[in-house]
Amino acid sequence: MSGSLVVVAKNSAEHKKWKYVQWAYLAGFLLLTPLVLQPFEIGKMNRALIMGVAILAVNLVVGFNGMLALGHSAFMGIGAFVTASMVQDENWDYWQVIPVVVIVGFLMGVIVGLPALRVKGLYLALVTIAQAAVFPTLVNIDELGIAKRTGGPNGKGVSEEVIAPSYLEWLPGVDGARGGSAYRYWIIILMVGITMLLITNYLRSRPGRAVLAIRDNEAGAAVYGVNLPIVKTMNFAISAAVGSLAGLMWCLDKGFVAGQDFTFLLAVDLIIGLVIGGVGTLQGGLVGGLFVVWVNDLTKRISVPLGLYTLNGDGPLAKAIFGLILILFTFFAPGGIVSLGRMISNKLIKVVPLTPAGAPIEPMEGFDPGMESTRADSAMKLSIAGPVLLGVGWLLMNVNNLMVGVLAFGLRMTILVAPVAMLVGSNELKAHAEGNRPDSVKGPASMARNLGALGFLFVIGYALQRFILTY
Amino acid sequence: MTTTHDAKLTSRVLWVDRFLTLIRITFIVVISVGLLAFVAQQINPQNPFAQWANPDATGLTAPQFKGLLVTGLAQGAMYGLIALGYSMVYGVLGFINFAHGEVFMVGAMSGMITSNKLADAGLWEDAFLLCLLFIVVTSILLSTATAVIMERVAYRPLRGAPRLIPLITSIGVSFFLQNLSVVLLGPGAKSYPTLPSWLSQKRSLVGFQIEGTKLLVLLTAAVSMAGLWFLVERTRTGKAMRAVAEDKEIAALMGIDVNRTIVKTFAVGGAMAGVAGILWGILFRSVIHTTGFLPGIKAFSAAVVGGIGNLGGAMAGGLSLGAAEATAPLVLLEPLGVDGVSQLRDAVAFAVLIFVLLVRPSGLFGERLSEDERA
Repeated sequence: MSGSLVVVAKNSAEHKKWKYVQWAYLAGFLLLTPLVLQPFEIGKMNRALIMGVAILAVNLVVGFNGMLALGHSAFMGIGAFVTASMVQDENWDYWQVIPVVVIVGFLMGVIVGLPALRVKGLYLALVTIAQAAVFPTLVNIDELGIAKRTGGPNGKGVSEEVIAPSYLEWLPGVDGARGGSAYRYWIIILMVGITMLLITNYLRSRPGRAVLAIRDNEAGAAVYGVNLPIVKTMNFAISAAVGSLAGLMWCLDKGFVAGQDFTFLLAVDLIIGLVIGGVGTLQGGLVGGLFVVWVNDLTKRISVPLGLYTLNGDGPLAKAIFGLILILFTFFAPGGIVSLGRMISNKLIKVVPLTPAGAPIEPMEGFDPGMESTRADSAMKLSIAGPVLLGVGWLLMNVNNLMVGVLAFGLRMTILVAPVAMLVGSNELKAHAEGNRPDSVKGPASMARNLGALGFLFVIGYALQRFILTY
Repeated sequence: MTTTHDAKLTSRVLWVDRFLTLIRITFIVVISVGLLAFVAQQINPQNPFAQWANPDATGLTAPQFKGLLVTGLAQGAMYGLIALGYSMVYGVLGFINFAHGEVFMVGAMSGMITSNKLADAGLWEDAFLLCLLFIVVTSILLSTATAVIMERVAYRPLRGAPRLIPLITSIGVSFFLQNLSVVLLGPGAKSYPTLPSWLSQKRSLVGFQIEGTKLLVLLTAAVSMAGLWFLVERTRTGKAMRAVAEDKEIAALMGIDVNRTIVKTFAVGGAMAGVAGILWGILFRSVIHTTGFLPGIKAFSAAVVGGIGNLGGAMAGGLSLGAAEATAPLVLLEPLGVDGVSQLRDAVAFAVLIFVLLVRPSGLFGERLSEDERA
């Protein structure tokens, strides 16, 4: 129990409550994004989600199968060009293109992966690097009508926009100034969700478990009857298909596809996102996508005023800092942001499994009064921290407009900690009523509950106000 | 026990093998038809076989072909020198050091700076060979230092980590070095001073018309390779390197300082990359911060083509890759009726790699790796 604020038994009512809180956070985050952000920021969010899907594809090979694949930029490119060509030249609908893109990506994955995977893992790395390096020049060649399809060096614009059908206009942000990007955001969110679901199920299925077994012990997996080359190749091909799906989303989002977008730099961004998000975790891809897009933007904004930018607008400092971050992460947090997040959430709440008989395990019952009072105390501190920061932020904002950031930080703190404090406080109060806590717990616990509830109400009110203002 | 296991595996993956055989056969058919068409073209440009796919094909004249071959070999010698570093590091540590291409770039950049300084001082034209020696030595020093610092700072703390980790670190290092060069030297291509005219003029040598620069490149590469061969095969240091590549633990038990030997390996690879950087500068006279990327990847391909861990193989792989990428587009693909063949250089280089992986997975001259790296 050391250090955790709350301990709940797995699948108990409390655990479910926490799960609902998590899902509510996720839903709130997704719903607020198109409402609160500016259109260009929604565009960046879309980019981040697309990168997230592509990183997930890389993760399927690198994280879950233990093979090195460094060339998924080429699969993204293939998906994007197929989509552009189908939509622009053949007047297909985006939805109709999806199966085509997935099949084409799958076949490309088989073709690239089979010769390399048959031999050994290193060669997959090499072949995929080569693939990523060659791809931008391949789309420009005049042979077999490739250049006509891809637009050659000029790239290809897709004039057809995804237009919101009238029955989807109730989605937050779709009508009004940020309509276009918000609508694309919802489409991309839908596709990301379905992809995540399918991949989760795939990894739990028989082939998926074979993939994990190969990562953990190749010889052992072979002994247990896993057909190594076929499972590896199929996994690589599925990953390639997911990568091309990301390419389709890229085309849908940008409306313009060019060979220069899918260079080795993109492949490296994918690897960076993978490592920083978390290798071998499902959420890692999305976190990594957010990181790559937003931090890239941030470092760019830092380096431009310093006069350090190259012709394509990318700050060299940005990439140098990226390189440093990558090195630091491999040294200090090899599990990426996801593992850091798990560490922090373990500090807040710990889920302990039940005994096989279904009873909660012992330490849940035999409480240590001293520790329990500290639990209520820390909940109280949490509940105070958010509002105090909010107040300080408000004061500073009136002193100097540059301090708005503190207010925003206080708001985010409140959003994060208020429900935790509220739940912990009410739990402690309930335990006190049942006679499981000393009286010293009562004060801090009720304060935590009340302040937390206030903060929660405040946040909900704030969200409602933003909602009403935007409509 | 193992044999039955293997037999079972092979019997189960038959369709995979059929598919691979199909790819192999396609490759070989394309190559042989292209070669036949080329030969037919050489015999008589009007003959129908030479024209079946591409009526406009004119065929190469012998001097053109020789020119392409020499260009390819000069570039291939450079790939070979870079490949040595990849191959040695892979042999010793078992990971692809992506930042090695950047070590090469550092060498080329240092050569650019020193040669321009020398040209400003007016020494470049007058005492070219001395200047060349000087820039080669400074470039070797700088790139060796880069490689050694890289090993010390980024790779040594990660010894024993899963193989993915140092590889990703090396991508980070590569990014860092590339962009550090932009920060220090600015973006945009930078050029070497003009070479003295006695060097760049063509001279004939056993039927070949060779530009002096390419001759110089080939000679320098040969000298460096000979020096490396002597170091690895004839000295105590080289013996230690080979022992560490074979088995680090046993080497340590035999009294070899493994860390020192690994540093030396990085240093030697860095020195070779430095020489290659100067050769790049002399050949193309233009350097940019991304210079290291494509030659780096091609050099690693060359190391695999020649057989990774095998030094002679790395050099031979580099030469054959360079020659193939220079000649194959015009020799093989043009008679087959492919348009715009000169854009396909890079694609051809990697097609050579895939072909070798399919036909001889351990490389043309066989790989030399210890047991645990042969995963």
